[in-house]
This record gives sequence, structure tokens and C-alpha cells, in this order.
Amino acid sequence: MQTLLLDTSGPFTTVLITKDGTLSASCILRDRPAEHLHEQIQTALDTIHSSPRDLNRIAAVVGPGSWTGLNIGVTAAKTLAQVLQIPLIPLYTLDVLAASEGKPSWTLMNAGRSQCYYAQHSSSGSAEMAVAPIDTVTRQIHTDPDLTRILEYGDTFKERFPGNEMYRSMDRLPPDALVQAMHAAPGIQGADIKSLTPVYLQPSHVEQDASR
Amino acid sequence: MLILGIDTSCDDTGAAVVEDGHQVRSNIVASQYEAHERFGGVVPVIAAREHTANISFIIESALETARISFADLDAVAVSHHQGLMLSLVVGVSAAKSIALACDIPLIGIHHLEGHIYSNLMGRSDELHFPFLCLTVAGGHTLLLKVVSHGTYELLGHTRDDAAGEVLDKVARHLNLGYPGGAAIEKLAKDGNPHAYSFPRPLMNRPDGEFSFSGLKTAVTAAIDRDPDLNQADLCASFQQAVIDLLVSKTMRIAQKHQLRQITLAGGVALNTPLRKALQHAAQEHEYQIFTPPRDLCMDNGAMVAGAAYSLYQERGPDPLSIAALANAPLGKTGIRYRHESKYK
Ligand SMILES: Nc1ncnc2c1ncn2[C@@H]1O[C@H](COP(=O)(O)OP(=O)(O)OP(=O)(O)O)[C@@H](O)[C@H]1O
Ligand SMILES: [Fe+2]
Repeated sequence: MQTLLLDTSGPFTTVLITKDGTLSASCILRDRPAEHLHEQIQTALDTIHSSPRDLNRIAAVVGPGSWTGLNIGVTAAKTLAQVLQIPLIPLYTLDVLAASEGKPSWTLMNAGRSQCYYAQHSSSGSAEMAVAPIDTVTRQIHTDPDLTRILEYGDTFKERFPGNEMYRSMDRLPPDALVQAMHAAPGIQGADIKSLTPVYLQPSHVEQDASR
Repeated sequence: MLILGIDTSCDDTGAAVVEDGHQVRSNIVASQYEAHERFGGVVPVIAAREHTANISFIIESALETARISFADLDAVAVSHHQGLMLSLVVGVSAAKSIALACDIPLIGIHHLEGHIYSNLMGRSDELHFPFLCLTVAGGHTLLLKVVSHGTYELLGHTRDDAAGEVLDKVARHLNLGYPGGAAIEKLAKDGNPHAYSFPRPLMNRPDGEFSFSGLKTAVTAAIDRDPDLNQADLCASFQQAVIDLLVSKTMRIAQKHQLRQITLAGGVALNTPLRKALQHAAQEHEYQIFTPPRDLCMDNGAMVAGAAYSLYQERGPDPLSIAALANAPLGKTGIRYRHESKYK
């Protein structure tokens, strides 16, 4: 069972291939959003002397994250799945963050305009990801009695938790966490793949302004 | 040879299957007009999101209509140069995935080359190099000498707005909807083209330079001045000014450069009065006018596949490393033209 795993949500473009659940190839670049994604896929396949035909599944981070990176990554993933007629596993940024350190935890990410994406992952499960003002979420975290970890994709919250050892800023989704999140996530098929879009979660700023 | 052509350069998602460079087996275009309507113009982030949501369905539909599967494709072509950056990358990503997964050649095409080749498709018997091409679309107004496959010479261009852009802006000012040029043509049918005497900037200059912004200003000022104006008369007069500018410049440049075959390309080429006026002017001098089939005028994937068929013979395949570029030089000679581009 070979799985191709793509993450174009942030400054690092990550391409991984797993064989029977363990990592067998990787190609990670820090570059402009996902511009070299397909070359990276080719490189990763070449290192294990595989071809796209050998892939059984594709997993891709669908967001939230970089608008253009995700458009490129999700389009690449769903087109590959469409041509190869294989299932696709959508991965959510905050779930991958949570998979990197274990639960319970709070996962965070800047959503622009003083807002953030957040989710509270308890030992028994995850709360739905939501959007709220950064101040509100900070206050909620400070009053959480069970707090053990605060994981952020980016470093917006750094100064809100100075010296707090539970806080960790991450500039990329770690490969191990991507693989782990992939094992826990369900796959989609057929028409669901074609209609897959990135999780932008919020309307674009233009639309927000227009609806005022 | 079966080529899948993809175009996501602006706000239309297009995919088409073309056989041997001229037989259009399918040509599917999804317009995003409604998504942008309330913003009064194309919003790049929204265009990119719509492309991402639609692209798989449009590609599937292009294959189904052509009654083929991915395995039947011999190559995949995509507009990677010239357009909105955020939009271009979506089509490029899909095309690269197809090239990779099907193990077929990838062919990157300059969007303008797509428009240029919309006239050449299936016409290689009657249309011969070198010929003149007037490309009039939403973002471009260009006079090019098409020297050979992939080689062009710039003979004129607009110094400000493109003709299609001006048609769209005036149409928006009158709340006529999109495409503006088509709405104006419809209203103009019952109007008097001499009712208003709008300016025709640079018309008598001997070179190929166009200017449309002065005309736009004059027309929008006329609209603002008189809320009860006769829209048919205004549209007819405005359209006539655009036609006069395009036809007179084109004929003058054709004569100057001894180009007896003239092609008209881009969305504005749909305009019937423009086609007629150009035919009429050409007949006088025994020049020949070529216009594309109607479904190849506005943005579409078929023209991209058509251009790819010829250019692939010349240049071979492109590597997976080709990148999208908003303002890209055109052809072998790398033509750059200076004008305010709507593309970022
Ligand atoms: N019947 C018509 N008469 C005149 N103009 C028309 C007509 N139909 C469409 N148009 C114009 O065609 C233009 C769109 O053409 P096209 O799709 O080729 O342009 P574009 O791709 O947006 O821009 P470009 O190709 O320059 O980058 C619009 O400006 C529209 O008003
Ligand atoms: Fe166009």
C-alpha cells in the first residue's frame, strides 16, 4: 500500500510517500507557494523507483493555510486521484498539529484580521475547528484548567504566552505528524474528490468587506 | 494526436479536447460571471477559488463529451503565461498532475498564442505565414505580424485600456451585464451610430498605437450628463468609434507591411459589426479577413490545444518545472509590450 502525501499549506512544501504505513520517501522544499510541487512528487517517486501508477492513495492537507498553496495542492491532489482512480484523504491543518504532540492540546493558527482558527483537542476527541478573535481565544486558553499543550502553526501567539513552556510555535507540519494524521483520517472517493475544495473557512477579505 | 487543452487564465474555467490541432472534439467553458458580478469586476482570489472548485468537473466533462478517457490523451496543454497569477496556477497544477499521472507530454502555452491560433486551426491550407493578427480581448489590443509558428513581431498595441476592457467598463456604467461587448452590440442594433460624435484618439497617426481611455471617458461622461439618454444611440455611436479605430489602424498597418491576410482574434472578434466593417474595408483593397469560429473567440481550452499541436512540433514538451507568469514575453522573440496590464 503506497500513499502520496502532500502539504502545501505553509512556507514549506512537503511531499512524502509512505509504504505500508511507514515513510519511504520525502522531498521538502521551502519556497514560493508550491511552485515546484510536481517536480517534488517526481523526485520522491524516483528515489524509490516508483511511478504514479504504483500509488494506492493520496492524502493532502486541505487547510486552513496559504490560499494559493492550497489551491495548487488540492488541485494537484484531486487531479492525480481523478486520473489514477484512487481514493483521497483530506487532512486538516489543526488535526495534523494535534497529531504532532499528543492530546490534550489547543491548536491555533492566525486567520488574519485579528482572528484565529482554533480547536481544543481533549483526550477523548477533538472539538470542531472554529474561528474567533485572537483575544477571545487567548482568554479561553488562559482559563482552561486541563491545559497541557498549545500548538501554533506560525508565531502570532508567541508574545501572548511568554515563557510558557506549554506553548510551541511550528513553522511547518512535521512529516511524522502528517503520516499519523493520515492514518486517523477517512478517505473520499469519486464525485467527492472532484468537488473537494480547500478549507478557506472564511470568505475572502473582499467578500467580508462587501458584506459590511 | 489528442490534446487536452486547459485555460484558467482569468475568470473562465476552460477545458477541451482537440484532435490533430483542428478537430474540436469538445470545448467546455464554465463562466464565473455570477461569482464576480456584485464586485463590479473580476476578483482574483475568488476567480482562483472558483477554478479550484470547478476544474475537475470541467476536465471530466471535456473528456466525456469527446468520448475518451485520460488513457487516450497524447498530450496536455495549459495556458501558463499571461493572465491572473492566482488563476493560472490552478490550471497549471491540474495539467501537471495529468502529465505526471498519464506519463504524457506537458505543453505550456502563452494565453495570447491561444487566441492567435484560434484562426489557424484547420486553416493551414488557406492562411499562410506571414499574416497580420488583430487580437482584441478583455486585456489586450495588439497588432502582430505572425511570421511563423511561435514567432511574432509587434506592430502595434494599446497604450492604455484594451478595447474589450472599455466595452466592459461602459457596459457596467449602463448596468448591462457581462460580456459588455455583447450587451453593447445588442443595444446598438437599434441605434444611430452618428447620434454622438465620440473622439477617436490617435486614429490618424500612421503607427499601430491604439488608445481607448479617452473614448471611455467621453462615453461615461455622456452617460452621466444625461440620465434619460437613448441607450441604443449611445451604444451604436460608441461601438462605431471602437470599430473605426480598430479597422482603420489594422488596414493601415496591413498595407504598410504588405500583409494581405488579416486575422481577428479574442472576445471582441465576436462582434458582428466589427467583422463586417473589417470585411468591407478589406474587400476594397482585396485583402482577406479571417475570423475564428464563434466558440473559439472568448477564452477556451480548444485554442490552447490548437496552439499546442503546432508549437509542440517546433519546441517539444515542457518540463514539470514550468511556472505560471502573469505578464510573460510572447513567442520566440520574447515580445514585451508596455501597457497598463490588468494582470497581477
Ligand atoms: N459580441 C461582442 N462584441 C464585442 N465584444 C465582445 C463581444 N462578446 C464578448 N466581447 C468582449 O470580449 C472580451 C472577453 O474576451 P476574452 O475572453 O478573449 O478576453 P480575456 O481573456 O478576458 O482577456 P485577454 O485575452 O486579453 O487576456 C470582453 O471584453 C467582452 O466584452
Ligand atoms: Fe483571453
